[in-house]
Amino acid sequence: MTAAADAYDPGIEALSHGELLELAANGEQAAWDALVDRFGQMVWSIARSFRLDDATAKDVSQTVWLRLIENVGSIKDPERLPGWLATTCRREAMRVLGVSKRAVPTEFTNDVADTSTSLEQMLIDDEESREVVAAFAALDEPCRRLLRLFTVEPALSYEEIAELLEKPIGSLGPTRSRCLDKLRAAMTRIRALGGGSSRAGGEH
Amino acid sequence: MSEIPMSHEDEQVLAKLRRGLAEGDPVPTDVVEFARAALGWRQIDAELARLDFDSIEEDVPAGVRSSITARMLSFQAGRWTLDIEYDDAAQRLLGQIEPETPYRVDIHSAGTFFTVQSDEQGHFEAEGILSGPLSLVLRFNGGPVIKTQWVVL
Repeated sequence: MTAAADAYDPGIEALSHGELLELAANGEQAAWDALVDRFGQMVWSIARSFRLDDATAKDVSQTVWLRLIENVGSIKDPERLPGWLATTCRREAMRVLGVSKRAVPTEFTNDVADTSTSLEQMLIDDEESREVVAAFAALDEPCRRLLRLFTVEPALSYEEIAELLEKPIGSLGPTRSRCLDKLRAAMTRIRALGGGSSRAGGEH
Repeated sequence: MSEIPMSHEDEQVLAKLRRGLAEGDPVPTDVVEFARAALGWRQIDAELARLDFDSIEEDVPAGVRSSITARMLSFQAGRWTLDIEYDDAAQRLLGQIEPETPYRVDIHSAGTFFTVQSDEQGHFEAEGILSGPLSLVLRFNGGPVIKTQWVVL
C-alpha cells in the first residue's frame, strides 16, 4: 500500500533497478514506466546495432520488454539488469536474423552507407548533431555497429559490447579509435560540402 | 573492468555522436507505449501456457522453406494443448485446443487487441493479424484462464 502511494512520488527515478523491478512485479505501473524510461533508449540502440530493418528493430525491442515482463519477478541479480537486457536483445536479434525473411541480407548492407535505418536528420535542430549523424550514416557497417554500442546509455561494459559484437575485448579500443577517425573524416567531408545542413535541410 | 582510456578528442566526438543519435534516432513512441502496456498483460490472472513447439525453429532443408507459408506453434498449460497456425501472407491465425472445449480468445498483438469466439470443438479463426509480437488469452466458460507466453510472428 505504502509502496503504491510512494511510487507516484517524483523520486521514483532515484530507485534502484531492483526496487523498480520489485514494485513492477507487484503491478506498480509507475515503477514499470520508470524502467521503460530508464532503459528504453538502451534497448532500442542495441536493437539498432544489428542489421535489422525498422519494423524488425521494433519487434526486437518490443520482444525484449515482453521477456522482461515475463521474468520481472525472477531476475536474479537486479543490478545486472542492463546486461540482462543486452543479452536478451542479442538473442532476439539473432533469432530474427537467423529465421526471418524480413531481416536485411548482409550482402546488401555491408560496407555501404546506411539506407536501411531512417536516421531522421531532418528532425534534428542542432547543426552539430545533424552533421555527426550524417557522418555516422556514411560509415561502414562494422564501425556503425561498434560506435552505436559505445553511445548506449546507461553505458554498456566492454565485456557486454565484446559479446554483442562477438569480437575479442582487446580489439575494441583500437577499433573504436579507427572508427572515430573515420567519423571525424566524414564530418570534415560533409562540412566541406556544406553537407550537414543541405543534406538535412532538403534541397527539394 | 578492462576499460580502455580514450583521448580527449575521441571522447568529445563520441559525446557529440551520442547526442546526435539520441535526437535523430529516438525510441519510437509506439515501442514505448507497447512496452508500458505490457504490465497490463502481466496483471491478467491466468495460467501461463509455455511455447513447446515452433516450426520456425525446426531445421528445414533450404529448398523446402519457401514452399511453407504457415507457421505452426504449440503451447502447453497443464492438461491443455493449444496449436496455432499463422499465415503471414493471408494475415490469418487459426487455433485449436485439446481437449476440445469452447472458449473466448483475447488476441494481444503489437497493433491490435480484439476478441474472437471459438466453436464448440475448440477451433477459432482470426483475420487481419499483422506480424509482430502475439499473446493469446483463453477464457473458458466459468473456468480457468490461460495466457500464452509472447511469441513474435
